[in-house]
Amino acid sequence: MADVNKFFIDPIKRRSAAQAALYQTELGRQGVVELSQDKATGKISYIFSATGEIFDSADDAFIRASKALATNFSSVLSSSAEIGSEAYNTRFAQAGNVVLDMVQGLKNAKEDKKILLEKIGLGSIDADTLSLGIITTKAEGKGAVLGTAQALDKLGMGYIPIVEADGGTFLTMKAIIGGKETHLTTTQMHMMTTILGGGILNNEKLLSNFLDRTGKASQLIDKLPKRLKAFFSERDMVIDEKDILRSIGNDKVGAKLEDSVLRTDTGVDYLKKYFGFDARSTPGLTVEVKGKTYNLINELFDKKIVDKTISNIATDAEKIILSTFEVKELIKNATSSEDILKKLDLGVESGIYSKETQAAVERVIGGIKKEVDGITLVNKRIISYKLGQLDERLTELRDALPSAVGADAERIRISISEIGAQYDLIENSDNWYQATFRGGLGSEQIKTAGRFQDFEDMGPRGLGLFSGFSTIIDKEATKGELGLNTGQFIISGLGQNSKRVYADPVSLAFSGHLFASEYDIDNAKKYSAEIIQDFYSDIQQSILPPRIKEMLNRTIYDKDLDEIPEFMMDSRSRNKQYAREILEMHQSGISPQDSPRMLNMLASLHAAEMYRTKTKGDARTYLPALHDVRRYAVSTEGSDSIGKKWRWRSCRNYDRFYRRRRSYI
Amino acid sequence: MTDFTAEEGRTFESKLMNFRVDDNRILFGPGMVDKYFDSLGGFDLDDKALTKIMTYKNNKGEKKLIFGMFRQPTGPEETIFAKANLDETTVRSLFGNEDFKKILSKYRSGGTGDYGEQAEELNEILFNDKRYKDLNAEKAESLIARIYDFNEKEGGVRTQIS
Repeated sequence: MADVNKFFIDPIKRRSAAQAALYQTELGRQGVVELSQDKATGKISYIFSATGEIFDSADDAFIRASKALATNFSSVLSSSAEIGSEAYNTRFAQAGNVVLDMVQGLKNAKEDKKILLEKIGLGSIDADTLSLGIITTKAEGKGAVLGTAQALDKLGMGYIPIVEADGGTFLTMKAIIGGKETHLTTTQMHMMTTILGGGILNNEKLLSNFLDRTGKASQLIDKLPKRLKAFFSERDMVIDEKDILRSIGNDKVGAKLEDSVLRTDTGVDYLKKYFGFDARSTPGLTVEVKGKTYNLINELFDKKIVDKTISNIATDAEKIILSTFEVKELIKNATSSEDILKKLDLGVESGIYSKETQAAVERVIGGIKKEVDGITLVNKRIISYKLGQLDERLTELRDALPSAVGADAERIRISISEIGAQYDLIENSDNWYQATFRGGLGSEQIKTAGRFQDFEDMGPRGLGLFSGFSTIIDKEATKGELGLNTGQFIISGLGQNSKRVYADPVSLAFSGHLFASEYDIDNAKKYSAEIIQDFYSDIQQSILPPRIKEMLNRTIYDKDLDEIPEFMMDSRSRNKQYAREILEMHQSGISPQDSPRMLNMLASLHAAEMYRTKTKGDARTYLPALHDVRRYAVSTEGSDSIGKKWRWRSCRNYDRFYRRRRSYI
Repeated sequence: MTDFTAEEGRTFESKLMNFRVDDNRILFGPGMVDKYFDSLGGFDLDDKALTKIMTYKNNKGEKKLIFGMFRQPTGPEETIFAKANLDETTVRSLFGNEDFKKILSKYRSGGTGDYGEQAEELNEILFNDKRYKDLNAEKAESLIARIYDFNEKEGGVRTQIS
């Protein structure tokens, strides 16, 4: 990269040019290499963000980053989850909440904990300066992860590695300790999290799993990287405990996130409904509205779906066992699925139940749980709340922009660009029907698919029995491998649903009989021939397809150029100009045949309908579009019917709809 | 119950897993996940599935639609076959796209035979949000299989026979 210090005299232009050049590189975009400008001389230097090492030339910084095999770096502070803060991080806010919990723990540490912190060399830590570094390395083989680990070791920086198949993530921490900025050692990081809470790994759970000798301890450890990833990978949207509670109008003093969660236990809830017994009624599960008491669990499940589910799951022999007096009594008095299983265990020992009875009930409960395992219902209000917050912040930033100058103005423009992108992603996302839903409920973690829906609509019409809940989660969805205590929901996988599906190397390799058969190859040829025919027809008739027009218009009317960071300005204005010229040419009757630009655009659009390319190393693979394949989320009628029964009964075509549905189920 | 013709001279009956599509989700019927759990391989309810349109012949020799499903991300042995309950929402979701529109349009303008009215109704259901009137899920299934046959004869894409 050319030396901007020699090319530009004006320090503002120098910074802008360096930033623009850096933005063109992957390491620059991912924050691995950052700029620094000397205020007095205006000299530009380059920082390898993961370690803080400073280099005079960008090339040296890139070589350093490549040796450490870092592909992404983000520094997270306790205020990184706060939208109003300068440190707000649109990609790692969830890690900000983890840091916030640590900072609060350090600040509120009682004497006994202070003594322990002192013993590990953190007695004089300035809690407010604690920051977490997230270094990502993406490369094949063990070498990449080892390379980063060795680089950090050499610099004496502690780290917690999260190793995956195609690379890994390294967590580092630094803070001002004894007046000096210091990287924490690996031991200090583990010890500090243990002193302040339950540890990175849930120590209590680990111990109890070791003690019960069922081999669950190794399972717990195996799951650790997967669970840690939830908090330390890029995510689309995060909402913390206080905002979740505010969004559902349940932010009374002392209110807890846990109280806003309605927990189902389908194993027992289905069986009670099947036999017509009263649903579980532990505190919080019943509400009184207009003088009538409603049991929320009872209102959630549809009797017909429940009956059909159990009828399909249980064999004839199991149905006979389920209908015996002692099993019915067991279910009637049960408070949870575990309660049933424990009583069966004891009952078999004392001779009340036979082993066949135990096996049958256990199997049916296991089958019922599969109906909802992995699906959580989430109150849609948290989305509009989050959008409101982002919108408010964008207005604040836009109001502040006209009076800001120099670096301050550029910082504001960068914030507008990042927050604006997050706002657009959430607002335009069309896959709320099943996004990836993670989070922390104090000492528990969640990892399921989340279906976002209007809780106001659930249950008997107009009563809003469920509107005060943030989520409806089945017991199966909560996990407890981590010792980190945070209250937040983390949503990822948002975006616009792509209608087109392309072959991928794995599907071709493993399911060649279905994706790469003679039929598929023949069909891909025919399909491509049809697209090429369309392409020629568009050229001959001078047609600019609506999709292209839409794309061009979007580019032209995209964000106000005044709000775009300077380093992005050149490429953005070029794109706008390009789009405007093509549209003007088309409107003035110029045919694609007379305009190479237009022709190229048409060619790329049609090519995307036929194939996409994947480049690995020097090899480029062409992956055909699969015209007869669609992509869907996977769910069940049982999970879909939660809280919906009353709406069905009031729908105009209910009889017709239900008849058809019944014949299908 | 779905009947299959197996190898020559041997038939067997088997009930296939059923699903419908609603709001971009494949919904399996009550109890089906447990019943077919072992055949579902690595499928989880928080996964995505790719569905591929295929055909088979039943005992009466009628061509029927079946959907091959693959978990995404794809892995070995994670394939199942299931029948779609082609209610309006499902049929729209599976066939209400530009590719099928072209095939249907060719069929409507050239090869409908006795099925002209059905083809018009299918077009209304798929692209104008209309409900079934004379068609129903079963008739729509046969019609779609016929449309693909016609398209194949015309040199266009066909459905894979499972």
